[in-house]
Amino acid sequence: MPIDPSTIRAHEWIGLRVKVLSASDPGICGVTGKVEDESRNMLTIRTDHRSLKVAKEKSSFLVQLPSNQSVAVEGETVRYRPEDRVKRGIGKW
Amino acid sequence: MSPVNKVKKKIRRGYGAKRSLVNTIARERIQVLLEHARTRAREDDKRLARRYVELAGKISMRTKVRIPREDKRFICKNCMMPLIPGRNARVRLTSRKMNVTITCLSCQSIKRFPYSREKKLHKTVNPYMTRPSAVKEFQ
Repeated sequence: MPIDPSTIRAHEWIGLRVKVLSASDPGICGVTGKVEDESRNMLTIRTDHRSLKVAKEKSSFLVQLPSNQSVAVEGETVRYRPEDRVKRGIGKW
Repeated sequence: MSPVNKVKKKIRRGYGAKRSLVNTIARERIQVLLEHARTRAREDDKRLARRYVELAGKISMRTKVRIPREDKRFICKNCMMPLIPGRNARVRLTSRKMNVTITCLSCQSIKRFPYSREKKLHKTVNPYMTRPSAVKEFQ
């Protein structure tokens, strides 16, 4: 199953293009780049010039899927460890 | 009726479907991460290459999905680097001990995979003669 809007919360974000729609730090709103690393609370985004860490909490992201489709994701819904997201990201069954 | 039977058994509804979805996603994530790790290793970014391999291993452990054998053989168990033959790994056949030796060139640790079983099989069974069509061609 390729990455689609229904599985994006459980799938791999590393390597995907991401735009920060909103963040508690107004200076990084609108930043675009590729996801380089992920921890429980933070996303490391590689922009053209630098790599910066964005908190998942209180922020929202526009994720570009490999099929060029874009999905808006609330940071709070992916606030798990990357390996935990496989089970928790698909929600309650 | 015994009291044991009165206790309602907890039914995990939809467990199988969830499990299969988790399995497919985990397998894909492992593939994606190892692919990224290999590209990072080619770019000499050791830190991220190791991090991606580590993440793939964590996903594998958490979801009980195995890393495919052909990928696992090319991951250094000691320093978690993805091994690329000719770049950061040396692959040699040792005919006396009958094994494939893969040396990690970043930490010099060695993995050995025996091929004695394959060799024995090759000796006893002639694959060309046992294939019916081949026998016909031979006659």
